[in-house]
Amino acid sequence: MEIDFLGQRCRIERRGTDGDFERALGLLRELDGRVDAIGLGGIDIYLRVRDRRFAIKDGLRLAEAVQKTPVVDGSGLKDTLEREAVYYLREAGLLTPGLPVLMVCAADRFGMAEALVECGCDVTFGDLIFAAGMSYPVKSLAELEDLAVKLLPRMAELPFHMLYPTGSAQESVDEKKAALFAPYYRAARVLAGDFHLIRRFLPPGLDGQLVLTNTTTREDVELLRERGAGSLGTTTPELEGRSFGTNVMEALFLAYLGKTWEEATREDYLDLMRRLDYRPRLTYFRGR
Amino acid sequence: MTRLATGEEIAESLKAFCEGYNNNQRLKEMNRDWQRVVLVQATDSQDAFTLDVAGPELSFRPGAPEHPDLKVVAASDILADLFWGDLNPTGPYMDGTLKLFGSEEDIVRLDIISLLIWGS
Repeated sequence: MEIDFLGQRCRIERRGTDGDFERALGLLRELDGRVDAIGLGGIDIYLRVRDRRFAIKDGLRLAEAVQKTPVVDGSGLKDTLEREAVYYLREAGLLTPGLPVLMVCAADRFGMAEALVECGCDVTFGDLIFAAGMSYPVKSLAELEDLAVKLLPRMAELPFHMLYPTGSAQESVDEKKAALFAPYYRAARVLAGDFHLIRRFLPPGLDGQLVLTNTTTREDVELLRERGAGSLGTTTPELEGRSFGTNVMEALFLAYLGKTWEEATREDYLDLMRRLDYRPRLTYFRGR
Repeated sequence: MTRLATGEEIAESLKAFCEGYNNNQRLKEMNRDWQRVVLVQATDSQDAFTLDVAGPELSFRPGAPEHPDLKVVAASDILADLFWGDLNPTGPYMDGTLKLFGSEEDIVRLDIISLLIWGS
């Protein structure tokens, strides 16, 4: 599709490989030097926890297959964008001190995690629940960092599909686990984080929770409505009526800025977000 | 040339692993509802052991279990190094010298347990 991005015509294409890693490598080599920027979806290159960065082996292999074109995974923009989204929701009175929040995974969006804690929310980090099925909620950023430092350097070397649903696994709910982990969902008023993970164990019988996530499809929205969510806040900007993943947006930002990933700064992103009049989108399923 | 680890050496390493687990309050809490029977099998000797994960308690015994949920299979020296914490499981798992049979979630959990006992 073609869109107007701050006065420039941009062509955006989605090329999927249904979780096929070798096909993805081939496709990236083919696109190298022929497009202005590439956003990797469904995989991270880096996980950032405060000032530490952990390379995901598979993500890095994909990024290194490309020599000429800037490649991003959305993590740089996510850190900026999702903090801003949380601050916006705080200003709107939707995030208040003490509000119970289930953040399904903080290791892939530490900016959102930090901002939620900054707002005084009572955050449960579900990293071990969602990555390993361990019924162990992490209740502080300090413990989250401690676990990240101990686990991530090695775990990031595992095949990505062992840590995160890829391909068709992204489209289903594990109903058995959904029943097991339902209390974590139901105890929260806000479900935050990656939508593939939120959906993974999404139980029925929610009672009006706000879901704060990245991008959703029409089917995802219907699933949330059917399971009883009250509202949906999506963090990615809307361009000409369409929303794109942070990986696509960050690629678009880099193409517009004419910078590499390393050169682009948080201020660059904040400036573009201001010019786009960025704010998260809110959809209410049950009225305000 | 790699040295064969004896059954006693593997048993010693399993003992250290179980002690590391049983003395770690956080691990016991994390796995309080996890029940698994794990076969530890050396490929270059006849040595086999059973690790019993009963939630907050981990124990081992010589001999193979009848119906393991998870299998850890490698050369004896790798097994001994692994359970002593001298070798991180991710490397040998990725290069194929350590084979783990079971659900991916259980494999990830075993990796987490090892990392939290011995560090990376």
